[in-house]
Amino acid sequence: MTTPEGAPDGATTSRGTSAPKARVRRAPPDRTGPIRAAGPAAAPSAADASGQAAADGAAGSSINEQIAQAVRAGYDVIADNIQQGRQAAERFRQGDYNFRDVPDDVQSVLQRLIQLARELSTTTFDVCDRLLAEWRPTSPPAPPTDGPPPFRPRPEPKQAPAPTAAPGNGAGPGQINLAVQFEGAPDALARTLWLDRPSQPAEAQTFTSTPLASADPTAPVISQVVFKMDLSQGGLVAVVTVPPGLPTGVYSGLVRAPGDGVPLGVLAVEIR
Amino acid sequence: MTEAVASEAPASSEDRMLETLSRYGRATREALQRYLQAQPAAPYLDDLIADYPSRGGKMLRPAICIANARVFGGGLETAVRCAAAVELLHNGLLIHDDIQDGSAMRRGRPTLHALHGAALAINAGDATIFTALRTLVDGLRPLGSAAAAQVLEISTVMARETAEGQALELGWRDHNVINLTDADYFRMALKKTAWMGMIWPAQLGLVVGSGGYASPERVVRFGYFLGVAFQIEDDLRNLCVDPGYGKEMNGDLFEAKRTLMLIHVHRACSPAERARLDAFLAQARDERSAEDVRWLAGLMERLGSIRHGRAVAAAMAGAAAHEFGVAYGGLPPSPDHDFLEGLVAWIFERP
Repeated sequence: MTTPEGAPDGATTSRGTSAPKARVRRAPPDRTGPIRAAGPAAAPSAADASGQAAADGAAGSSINEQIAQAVRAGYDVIADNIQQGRQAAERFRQGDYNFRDVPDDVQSVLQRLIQLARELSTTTFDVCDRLLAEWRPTSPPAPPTDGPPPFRPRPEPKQAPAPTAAPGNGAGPGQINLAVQFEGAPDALARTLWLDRPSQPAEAQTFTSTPLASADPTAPVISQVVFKMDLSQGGLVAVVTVPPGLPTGVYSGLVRAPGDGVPLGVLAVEIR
Repeated sequence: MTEAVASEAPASSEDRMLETLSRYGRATREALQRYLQAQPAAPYLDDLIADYPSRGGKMLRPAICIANARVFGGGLETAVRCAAAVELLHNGLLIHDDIQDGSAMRRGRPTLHALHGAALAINAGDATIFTALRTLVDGLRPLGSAAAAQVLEISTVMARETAEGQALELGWRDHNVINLTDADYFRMALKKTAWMGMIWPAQLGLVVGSGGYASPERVVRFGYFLGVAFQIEDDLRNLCVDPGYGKEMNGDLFEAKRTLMLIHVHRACSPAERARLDAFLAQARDERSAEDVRWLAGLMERLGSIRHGRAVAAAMAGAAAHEFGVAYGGLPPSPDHDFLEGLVAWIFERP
């Protein structure tokens, strides 16, 4: 295994020499943990670090300083990359995107993806389901016996047993995945992961929920719940606005679609 | 498909890594065969598609995918199709990389374009990539739409990052960009190597194993530092006597590849040395002499560029070990957990 070589700075003790010398001690380390902070306020930027390394050359700084700078630059690079990815995702998710920010060669691809997402967000669950039908859980395809699988998807077996939804496996047939966004309660937790599909096509925006109430009848309720479609989050999204000062606990309400007498399910959230 | 169970625990960590790579590599190859054995074979195509996968390889990427899937709660059978997609996509991109780099050898044999010409090789690379998508679709079908949407998202990000990384490396070389920093190199390695080779397979396994309920961002930093350390070690090996895989010793120097060691030597040398180095870098590949390459290799040794590269590789591996704890620390111990942790040391121990 490759290991870093010793510091070539002459700081090692000269054993075997006759003249006694003061014991060489390392300076106390500036830090004892990894450099995690990537922001300019906490650490020099990658450009600063690299510029410093350039100024140091091979003679000035010790190898340890150079390595520390390299690791810091490494964390800066990944922090910058992740931040850019988050900003891009946030822009696209909110529809606040500007194609002038995107290099030419990916514009067409992104435009198609965004157009698809826009159409899906304003149309029906049926369309959404059809487009995503290839991803639906079915029995795994059998290995082909006469060549590679066709590029066109195989027809699904009509008598395939309907798998049931289980935690960790997503929604089953007849169900839709549900993501929950919280406003005003960053630590809140969704207890509902999917709902039944409506019996008739319906837009996500037309879904309603009864006020989310806790087991304590005297506690306030969460009355503001709106629904939307967002493929980047897996499909149906419930945006729950939590009033300030709401006591901790589990709050739940019934979700309905227009024209459906039977609720699609219970939306349960935990306020922590 | 059944999961093989080892009857005896291998003796050393290296044995365990090899055993896991062999087992997951074998499972991946079995899955690959379903997609590569077309009957009747299309002339000038199917033999070419099957060529690179048949030449072997470490199967590191598929193993990362499968191990992540199992660590996050999935089974081998579902994960192996995605692992096959990872390997196919990697091979498709290798075909194109070899053409772009003008490489003569791949895995000890002539490159595909050297055997069949660039046009047929590009076509085979395209077909390999699309076959990988087919394999991925088959792998995702049992998982449901939420997980599939996640895979679509991480895959498009990976494709973009990888293309940007390849563009950076080719652009630096073709436009003779010289004044680069270590951070520039890390950025290139993140995009060109780490995203496709480490981050994406890990993310794919995470999504498959968790059914879409774990955040793919969780494994990004681990994969990044692992990938950067891997790339530096690869570049260091190219400067050694036996670079492996039939590569030419000092081939990176002949190609003036912007490695961490080249960036270091350029900033550490004297003005006179820098003038000679700049003249060397400005030459076309076939104009560069073996004498100049030997001089540059000696300069790297004398000015500590090799030592710097080794030290940074070790530091990046250390950061990877730390990020492993962050990403996987809360998960129960298992052989797959050990395998992923062992990858950090494996970067340097691999044959």
